[in-house]
Amino acid sequence: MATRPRDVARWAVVLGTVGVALAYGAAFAPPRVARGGEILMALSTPTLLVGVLGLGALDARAMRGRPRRVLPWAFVALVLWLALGFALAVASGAPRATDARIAGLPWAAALVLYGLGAVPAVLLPLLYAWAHTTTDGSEDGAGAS
Amino acid sequence: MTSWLLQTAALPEAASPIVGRVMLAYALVVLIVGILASRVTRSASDFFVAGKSLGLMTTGLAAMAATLSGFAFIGGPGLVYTLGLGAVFIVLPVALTNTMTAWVLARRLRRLADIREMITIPDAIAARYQSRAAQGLAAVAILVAVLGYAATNFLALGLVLDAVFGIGRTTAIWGGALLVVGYTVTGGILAGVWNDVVQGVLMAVASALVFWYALDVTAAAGGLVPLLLAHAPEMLAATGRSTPLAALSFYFVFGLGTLGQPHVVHKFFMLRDDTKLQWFPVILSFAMMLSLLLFVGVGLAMRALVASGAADAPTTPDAVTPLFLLRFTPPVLAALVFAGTAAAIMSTVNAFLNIGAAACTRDLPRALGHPIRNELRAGRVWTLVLALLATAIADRSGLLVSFLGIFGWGLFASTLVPSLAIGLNWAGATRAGAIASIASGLLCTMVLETLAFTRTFQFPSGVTATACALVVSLLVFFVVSWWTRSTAAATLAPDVRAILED
Repeated sequence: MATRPRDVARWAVVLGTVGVALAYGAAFAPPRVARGGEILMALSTPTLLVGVLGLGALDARAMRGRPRRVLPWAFVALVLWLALGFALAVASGAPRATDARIAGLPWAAALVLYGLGAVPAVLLPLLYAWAHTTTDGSEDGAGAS
Repeated sequence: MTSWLLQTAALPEAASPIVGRVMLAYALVVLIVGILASRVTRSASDFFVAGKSLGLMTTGLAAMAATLSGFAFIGGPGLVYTLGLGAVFIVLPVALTNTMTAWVLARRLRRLADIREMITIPDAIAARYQSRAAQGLAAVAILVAVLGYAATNFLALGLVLDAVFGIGRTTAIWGGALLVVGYTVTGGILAGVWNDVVQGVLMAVASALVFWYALDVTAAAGGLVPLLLAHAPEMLAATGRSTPLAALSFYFVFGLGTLGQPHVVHKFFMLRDDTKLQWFPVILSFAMMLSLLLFVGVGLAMRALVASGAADAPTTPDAVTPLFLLRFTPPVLAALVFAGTAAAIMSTVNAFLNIGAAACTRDLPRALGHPIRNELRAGRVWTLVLALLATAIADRSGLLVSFLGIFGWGLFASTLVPSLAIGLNWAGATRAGAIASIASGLLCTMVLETLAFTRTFQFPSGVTATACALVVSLLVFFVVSWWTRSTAAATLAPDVRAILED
């Protein structure tokens, strides 16, 4: 049976795809509309990608164990984190020498390299490893393979 | 969009005894591995999926090595030099994709391989939709992409070998091809995977060392960040010199498209035991992050050094890495990176030839209802035929190789992401949806990329043929599957359904 969170993930994929299509369509329009397309792209891309992630992760097996309380909210947080990061990246301009520094980088560069790169690169694999461990123990017992 | 993924310009001359010796030593290692692998390659399953015998670490390093071609060491840093942080959006999705492939594809593909006789990605599509037509269409897309990709990689390998040995482009292309074909034909994917392990370690270590040198050299000149802020601040803007839409497009295409790269995801068939996948994303992410330090660091460091007058400007973006290595790092490290670049290209070509040969040996004959009896022998013959064809294209035609090369990534993404990655996780997908999606992805990629290549149509900044084709194939997949939703249950065999849902 399809799980409810998986249905939500599928709708996120569909809506994200439509959003990306509209964002590309806006690029053919006058500059003011095109700017709106950039923001739409910043919101749609993480919705689509994390939706696909959820489609794979939120299967019936995961929904039987502890991950069912954690994974859906972790993915919602990831969408929000990435969307906010992309929106800030779109809105920011060229850095100045007086800009605040984060771990040695101007904030906009730190946002990209640390916020959109390093943070999910470290946390997501650990989330996967945790979900793999805590999934109801039926992995072998289910005898699917 | 993917034309800049191709390395088609000559590199600066790097002939030195140390570089030459390291390259020759590496070639020797590759040949020995090929000979060893040929001794244990006795069936088509050994040849195409390493007899499903790989451990976790080997699979992780092989997946990384197949993902990162020479672009990670040569073209990528050149693009960072040109676009600043905008080019980083190409590799940024790695933060998601390593875990995404594990969750979306790894366990399901491996379990499919347990219940059905399965050695290719089109095999998986055939099993999912019970459709030979879908298998055949996917095989055609793979074959077209493989030929172009392999040709451009043979050319890139020839350029690297020519830069090191100064033997002329033609000799270098055929010499490099001979080496790759030798170990691919004899040892199949097993030789490739064993070499991938060597290459993966080499890439990660060399990349980390070069990154350290990039920081060290720029620190002596005033510091990487202060130099860039003083001379080229736009490089450190969030999307660098790219438009925001172009940078986000990179993220979208390379994030989602990764799920459709058959030379990477078919490594999951080779896993000995899918319960060991727990640490796969951790291993892959760690190795990837190390290997991509060079991608980010060298381009920015060279921009800072050139802007401050500490280095001469490179004549082409592809010259950025060779110039940095030859000027600012010890010869041994430069030699390791050149060997690593050649190794990266070879492993990518090995994987392409293998899946291309599988399409000719297995998928197309089965789709046409005439399976081949001796798939091992046919696989070796087709590997040779494809390699000769790709090498001849690389050697003979500058324009054709550039043209064919643009299809690679986009074709894989638009034809395989919806039908494979979404289809293996959604029981509502239908056979008609998959066939329509693969066909539209094939058609859109070829038409739109051709229009862009010939400059018949100019896309607005940030919009690319690859991205448009991917969006179209996704929309077609959803719309046709919804339209034919009453057939979804009949499309899905009960044992495959169990894998999809659990």
